[in-house]
Amino acid sequence: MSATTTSAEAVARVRLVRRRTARRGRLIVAVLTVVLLAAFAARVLLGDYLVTVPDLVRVLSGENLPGTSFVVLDSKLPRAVGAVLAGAAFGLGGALFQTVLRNPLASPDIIGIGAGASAAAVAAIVLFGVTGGWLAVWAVVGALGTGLAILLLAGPRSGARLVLIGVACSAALVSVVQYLFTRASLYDAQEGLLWITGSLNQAAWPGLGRLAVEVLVLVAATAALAPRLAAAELGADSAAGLGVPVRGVMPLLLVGVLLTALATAVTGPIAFVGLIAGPLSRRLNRDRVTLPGAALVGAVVVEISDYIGAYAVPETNLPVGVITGAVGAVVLIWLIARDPSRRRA
Amino acid sequence: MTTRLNTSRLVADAVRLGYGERTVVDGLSLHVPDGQVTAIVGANACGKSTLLRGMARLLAPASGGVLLDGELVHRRPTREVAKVLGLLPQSPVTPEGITVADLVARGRYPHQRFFVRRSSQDDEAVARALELTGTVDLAERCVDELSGGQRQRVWVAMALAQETELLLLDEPTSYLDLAHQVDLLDLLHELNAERGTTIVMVLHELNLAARYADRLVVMKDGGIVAEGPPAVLTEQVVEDAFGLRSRVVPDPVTGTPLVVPIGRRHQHSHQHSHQQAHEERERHRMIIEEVRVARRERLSPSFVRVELTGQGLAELGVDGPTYDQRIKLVFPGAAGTLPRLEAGPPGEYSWYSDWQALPEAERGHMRTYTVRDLYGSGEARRLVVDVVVHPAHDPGDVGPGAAWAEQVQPGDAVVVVGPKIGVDWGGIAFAPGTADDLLLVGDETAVPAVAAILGQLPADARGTAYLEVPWVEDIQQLRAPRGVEVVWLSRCGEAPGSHVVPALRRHLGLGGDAVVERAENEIWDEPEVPVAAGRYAWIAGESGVVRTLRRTLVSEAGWDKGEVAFMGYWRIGVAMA
Repeated sequence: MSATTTSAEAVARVRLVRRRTARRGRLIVAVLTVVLLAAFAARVLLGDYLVTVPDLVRVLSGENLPGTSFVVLDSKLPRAVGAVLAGAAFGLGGALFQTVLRNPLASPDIIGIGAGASAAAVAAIVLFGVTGGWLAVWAVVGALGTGLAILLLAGPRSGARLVLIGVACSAALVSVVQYLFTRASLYDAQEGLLWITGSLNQAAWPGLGRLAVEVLVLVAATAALAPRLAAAELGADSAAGLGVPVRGVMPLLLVGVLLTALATAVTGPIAFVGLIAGPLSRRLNRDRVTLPGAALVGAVVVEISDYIGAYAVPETNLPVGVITGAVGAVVLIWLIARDPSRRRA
Repeated sequence: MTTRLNTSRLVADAVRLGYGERTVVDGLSLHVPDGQVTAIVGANACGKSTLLRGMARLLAPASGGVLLDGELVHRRPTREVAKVLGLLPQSPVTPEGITVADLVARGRYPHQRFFVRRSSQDDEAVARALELTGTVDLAERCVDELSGGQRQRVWVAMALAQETELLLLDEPTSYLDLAHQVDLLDLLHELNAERGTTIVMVLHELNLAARYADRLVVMKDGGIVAEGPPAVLTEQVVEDAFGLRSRVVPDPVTGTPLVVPIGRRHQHSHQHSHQQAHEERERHRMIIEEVRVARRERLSPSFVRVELTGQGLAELGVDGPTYDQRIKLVFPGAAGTLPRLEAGPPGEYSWYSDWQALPEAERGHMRTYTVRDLYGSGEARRLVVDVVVHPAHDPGDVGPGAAWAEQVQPGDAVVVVGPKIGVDWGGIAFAPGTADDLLLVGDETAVPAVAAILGQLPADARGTAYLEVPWVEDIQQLRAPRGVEVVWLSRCGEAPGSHVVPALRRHLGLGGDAVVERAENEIWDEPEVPVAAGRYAWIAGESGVVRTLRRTLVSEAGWDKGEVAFMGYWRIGVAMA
């Protein structure tokens, strides 16, 4: 206690620990990137229609191989890219919510932001006959409207309050969707199904291009805002003491809502990805929050789930949301079941 | 607890704070003294944490304002404020899986710029904070794995890494056991002492607050009940703020107030608390006792003798040659009542500041007197004090001591403050050492002291006493050793010192009537008075007279300062305590 000058030893020790933390973060990103590339490659090359690497290179370099070109460019590649973008967006959005609100249940898909997108899109189809690109706009508006309404009702201070209000909103919105289905024509119902279980079936280049730009911008925004998240993690009072008032974390929640809404507009609500990506990535990172990790885990989960959905059951192309819903539920139960033993030891 | 001229960078100015409709703190103003430790205490829901949150800009005031360096703290950029004002909230959230070094590094947030997340400056600040809190060895540990005490230290380290000049802490010791509470408060004290950090903390534990704070703020119902040094924590204040009856005794370790609650269950034992208080005082070195006037006698125009009696005097310790032993008397003021005072170890616990903190009407008057005599034992023990009834230059100027002595009746109560038997209480102003030639000089205010000294001198003492009194009738018969000549001088209405100064000059063999009349060149002459081995002079009286006598002895007669003691008892027209 009498030391008035900082010893070099202590500084070195602090530096070592902090570097180790940063290095572990980078290692996880690297490993997950490799896993994602592998899943991506599997999705594109394997399956019912095998594509060889040389063929893929030729297709990508602009050569037109009958059959292969169509399958790769119009089916396999857009689905794989869509899985990466949507998975990353859901994963990052979920982790942002969970970290800011310090509640693992506070992910956008649980609190009804996905349901908001669904309800708006189905309403647009059934009531107004909207089709095509405008549906995405309706979905984004629905998701944003729901997100803002929940944030306003709950206030950003309490995660538990927000979860409860969100679950209530979600239930109300699901019932709206179901009511609309009872009134829909068969064709509209088929069209609206996408908005209940997320799917990559309709992934197409123009939409994916837009989503890629949007995700890149929002990832950059997240990187810029990340230091605030580090402060916000310490609780509202500590964060305010460090110069991050409650309103200072609102942009992070807004980014989370946007990521979820924009991805939903392309793929529909892919269940549980936002919820499980954060906790899974934390488990890999010794319980530490890792936003890049959450994005990558989300991408990996959607990529693999889509592969399973496409080929697990012969002759049937299951929407990716069915798989993430089934797998996600199991993962969630597993996480919660083993949590108490770890948490307050 | 020194009184410094305090500045305050952090000021609450008539703040009204609350949550929604509910107002918790109403129109409260507080100046936080820079470089000191301020503790805010009070009952649950008294608004102490709300006040702290308001000062930490976590809560915007409904009216009034919190000023930091003269600017409204809510208007300043919050990140700029975070560089000056740190906060450790009541229940911070520990992120899962975080290491100590990483958590502490989060305190650097206000100093980081965009995309420059980790700098060596930050690492150094983190290391400093870990060293200050003694947590370097925990750097790589996971915060979840730490004990409560370690974790709280780490959180303090996080606040320290912010490197702010002001630090606010909301109940930093809650959830800690007693040893860790003391440990943490020691740490904060060191921080305050070494870095000069201004600390404001909300504390639950009153006794620790009194121990560690330079300044206590006692709150109730959103307002301040008492504010000041820890001595403001009196039984009355505790009852006002907590609705709890208690005894406040000096902390045996630090002398600061120690609150001992009574509670309903112990109403009965409270009956015996007089006995307990008595035992408590036993352990201290002074008595503070309420006694009765047994007798009052006018000795002469300028002297009134008062004899006091009471059981409390049994322990008053002026046996043996203490010569000019002083005691203090506290007599009723305008309210007609006597203050309740508590004894404590001298120099550590200040009953005096307790007394000063009382309202003027209630605390009465305190004056210092020489013990003229002390005799008898048990119930019959008597303390004799001669009160000088100063010749009033103006009838309205009669001092409170003189006024009391003039009208006091047998049976009246008075509080005696004095040393215990066998205790060297300091303040023994007459210290002749081995001197064998004594010179005692003074005016009427010195008479009781000189009389007491002469009465205690050994039989073979030699010397001279010059005593100037206002009137011939004031001359007393004094008991003195055969070798000491007592010379009485009556000034008969002339100015104080007009007779005793010339008498001293004659005694010293100095010419002229007064120093000022000496020619310039003579002052430079070395006086040729042979330095007698073992001479000692004791000079007392009105301060102007004492000054003249001092000049005469030291400047003119060349006495060494160690050979003379000077007591300035009063100033003309102003009675001094």
